[in-house]
Amino acid sequence: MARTRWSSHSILVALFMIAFIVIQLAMPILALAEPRPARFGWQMYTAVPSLPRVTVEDAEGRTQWVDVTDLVARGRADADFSTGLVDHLCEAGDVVAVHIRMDDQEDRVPCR
Amino acid sequence: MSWLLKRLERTVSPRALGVLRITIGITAILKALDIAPVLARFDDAATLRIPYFGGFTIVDVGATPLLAAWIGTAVLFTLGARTTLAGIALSIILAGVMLADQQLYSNHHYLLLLLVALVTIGRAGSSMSVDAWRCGGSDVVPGWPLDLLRVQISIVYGFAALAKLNAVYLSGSVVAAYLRRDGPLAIPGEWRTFEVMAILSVLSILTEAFLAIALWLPRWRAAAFIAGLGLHVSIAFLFDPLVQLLIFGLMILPTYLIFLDTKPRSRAVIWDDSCGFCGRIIGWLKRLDWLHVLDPIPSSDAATRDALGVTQAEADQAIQLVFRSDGRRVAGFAAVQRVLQVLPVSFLWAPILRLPPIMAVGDRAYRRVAARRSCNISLRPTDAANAQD
Repeated sequence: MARTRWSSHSILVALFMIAFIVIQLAMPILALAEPRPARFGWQMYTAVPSLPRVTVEDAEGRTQWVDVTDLVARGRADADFSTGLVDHLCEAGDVVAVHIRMDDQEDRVPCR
Repeated sequence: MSWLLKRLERTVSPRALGVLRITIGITAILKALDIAPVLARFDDAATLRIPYFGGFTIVDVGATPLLAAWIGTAVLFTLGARTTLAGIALSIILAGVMLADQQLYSNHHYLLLLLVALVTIGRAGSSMSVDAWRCGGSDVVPGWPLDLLRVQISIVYGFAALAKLNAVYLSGSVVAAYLRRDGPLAIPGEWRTFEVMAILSVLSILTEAFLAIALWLPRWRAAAFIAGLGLHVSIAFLFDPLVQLLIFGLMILPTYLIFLDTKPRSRAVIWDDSCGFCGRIIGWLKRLDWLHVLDPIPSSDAATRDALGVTQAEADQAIQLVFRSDGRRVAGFAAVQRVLQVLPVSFLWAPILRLPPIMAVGDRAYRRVAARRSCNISLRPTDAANAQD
């Protein structure tokens, strides 16, 4: 007769499998609600990657365009460049604000 | 619940997992070479960092030692030397790199991490490995890690299709942006019309959705293999970037192998051992039958042949393939095609041979070769020995 009793090993395996499948389903389901492409969502080739256009402003109000491709390690569409870029560019002493233009929206972010 | 328990405690042959370990290991090496210039940029203090968490990350150790560790563990994993240890170390390195900075995330990298981890859990060193050669290996491994791998592949395709169901993608603009613009495979500008791009977009969604489901269904599996092969080859050559997409194809296509029924010696191949050409072919098939699915039986072994319901005359006429599970039998070119469908080197493209025009040509060619086989091609002693061992 076939054994039908659950051993502790079987229970652990079952729990691991359930946890794995639930996590692997939940993450991409949640990612569907975010703008494309979202990380951990298997959203390959769902959007065209574009980097923000950036200018820095000094204390006298002069602005200078910055080539972002020289700064980033890799231009990922799912990376949040805005926060990181501001902190990075503000480290240069004479910068008082960073202008970030993404799609049709432009933000002026003052350095802290 | 007893069905679930049986499923959990089911064991399978480790050979498919061994093949998968090797292909995933090679992919990990290629991925390391591909990402090396990106990691090297983190050695430059002027490079922007977008960490998920503050403090030390794995890229702070420097690109060279990190890549050396990555490639070293990937080589050990591929060879199956200290497989579990190498698999754990490689998983940690892949996870560390992926979580070090937002710029280092990619779906391909994440899938590679999951595959390495699941294959390691599945005891992938039990077969086709240095570990198995040194310590004897194992005839069976738990089946549940393979179930998780199958689920994972379906999830990847399923959500890749779902995420594309939006107006921007369906308009064709995303496909148009990724299509190659330079080189011999560049798509001419006049083809990048709304209609063509929209059709390509819908086709890509339908293919991915089909793959998510059809790989599980025996009736549709062969079609899924062709669809998957077509999808990954076409996006690699028509889209940019070529190298990353080739690596992705190399990573995901071999995983289809675990959807096949690869029970050892589940298919008896009865062949004419008085024919030199047949011996040579069977010798090659045995060399390529890495999953040990085939059981070649010379037609002169009357007892076994009779037990399988094949007469001497039938065996003399054409090669016979008998499915041991249900006794089904196919002969001639159809048998050759079915054999190719379970070899790791041909299982993806072999279903094409079943298409009616190809089947008809193959049948005629097979009959022609079979009719002439014993008169002009001699049996080499080594081939005969290989074929019957």
